Amino acid sequence: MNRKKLAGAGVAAIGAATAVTALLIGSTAAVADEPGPASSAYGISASGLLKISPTPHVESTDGRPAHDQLLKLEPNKDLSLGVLTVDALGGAASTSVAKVNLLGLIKADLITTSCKDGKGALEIVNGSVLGQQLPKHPITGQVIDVSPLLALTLGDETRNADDSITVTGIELKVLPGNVDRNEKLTGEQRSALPGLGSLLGVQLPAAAGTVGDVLDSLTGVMAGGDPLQTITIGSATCGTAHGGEHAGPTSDEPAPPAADEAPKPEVVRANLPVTG
Amino acid sequence: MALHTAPKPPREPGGPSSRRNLYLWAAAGVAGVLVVGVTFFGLGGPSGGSSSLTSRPEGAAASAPASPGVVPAADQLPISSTYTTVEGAPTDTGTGPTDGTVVHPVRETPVRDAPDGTAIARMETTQFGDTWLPVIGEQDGWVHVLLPSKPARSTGWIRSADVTRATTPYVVTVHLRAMRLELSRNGTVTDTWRVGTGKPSAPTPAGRTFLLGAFSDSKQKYSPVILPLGTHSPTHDTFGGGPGTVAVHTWPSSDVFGTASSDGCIRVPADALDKLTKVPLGTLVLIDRG
Repeated sequence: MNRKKLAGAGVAAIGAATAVTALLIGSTAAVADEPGPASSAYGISASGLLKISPTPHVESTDGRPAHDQLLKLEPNKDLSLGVLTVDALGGAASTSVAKVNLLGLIKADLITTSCKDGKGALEIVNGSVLGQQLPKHPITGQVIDVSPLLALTLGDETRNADDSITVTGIELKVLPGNVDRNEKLTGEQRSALPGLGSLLGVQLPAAAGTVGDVLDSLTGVMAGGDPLQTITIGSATCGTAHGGEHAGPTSDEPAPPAADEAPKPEVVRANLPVTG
Repeated sequence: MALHTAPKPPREPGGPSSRRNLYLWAAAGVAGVLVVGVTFFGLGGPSGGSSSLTSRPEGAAASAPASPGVVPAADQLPISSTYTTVEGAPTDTGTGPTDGTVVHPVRETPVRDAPDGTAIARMETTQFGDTWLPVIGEQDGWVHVLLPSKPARSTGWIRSADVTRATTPYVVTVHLRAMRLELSRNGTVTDTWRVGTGKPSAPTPAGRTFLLGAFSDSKQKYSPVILPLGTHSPTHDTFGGGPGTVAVHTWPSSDVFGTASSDGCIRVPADALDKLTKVPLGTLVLIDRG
């Protein structure tokens, strides 16, 4: 990358990304009196055939601000990211990734993943998968099957044992596991095979008719039931200064409003032998 | 493209998971990290605040961080599901109905053995479709729920902040000796059916449990829909390749109703299955020996 080429538009983009993260976490107390769990953030990570350790990554263990930024990341010609910005401080963390292009399948102008005082948020600006628009503010943990080759999880949240919250922006899984070998591929899915093969460093049959045809071409590179490739864009982990979020009612708080009736179950497909 | 509703495959404690793999990569500082074309560009920090800046030479690979920001111990906890066993889970001693409160975890969250107690497991947001668990007790900021994992009658505590609430007006009651199943709504029995239960060598377990899910299985053709419960056979640690999950389902022939002939499951007539399939997940199933 030629830094000179980035001097104009690049700096402007960096400024915008930094402003986003600063806005998201800027009002949090800079240093907690009694630091809680560490806050951290990273821009991208990948496991599988393509490996990228969390990059860039910052962590704040004492509540003091930590910041890092990468101007551009291009692991290969099918994966490119613009400015990656990460910030962490006491009780808050944020990461923004601009100009996302994964295989031409997943695109977004900006993906901002943040966490503050135990509450997570994800914003996807002009995001799309296989040409279909992604929601700007997805439902927490929304999983979109781009079956059977790709699965996207948006804004997944996990509470950790130390009561911190981890928000994962976008997690892409290639061949997410437990797939049906006999499932037929659509023309759109077949058209994605060359790009997927390029990402994975293997040649996938463009004329594959079923998932099994794809799997057969991957003999030797599949690892058990794990996804063949996982790419995470944006992860923010935030603790709270006093050891955890207590959003439930306490003796000093009003009782929650009456709950609605639980929904009727949706019948899903599964294979679980029961005791007959 | 569709919303994902299929159940997650079993993940053993400490076993493979994509998220865990990421952390292992980071913790080990895996060699061969592929970062190409990276240009680091340090700024003066976020506006309005001081910033801790580091710098790397242009084109240098980013180093793996010492920690990606998640406490490893949490990831070593077993997931509480019908496939797993959770050690240290308090045993449910209740036998009666609750106020009908059920909860759905909005994020993966630790299950603890008491409010602010030791984390013993993780609860995921989906099992068979969305996870819904019955609430059998509450303390400030915590809900006490029945668990779907072994051993039978396991319970745990989850942060109230990590769940959404709903209510179910239904209760399903199974009388083993009478071989009858009752469906109640708002405390009134609306339907009663004669059902089949577990044979003496593989009895249906008594106790409080709940409707865990609703699924169809092309490999189990005896019932169009199977309703797994949050309990397991006391005699079959595994059955047919499964973890011994007890379920409610129908059966191709009616001669099984009124007999103790299953391996633990509750066999019900087709019209019963049809009605039970519309009952919310998390609804209590009270199995007694009466």
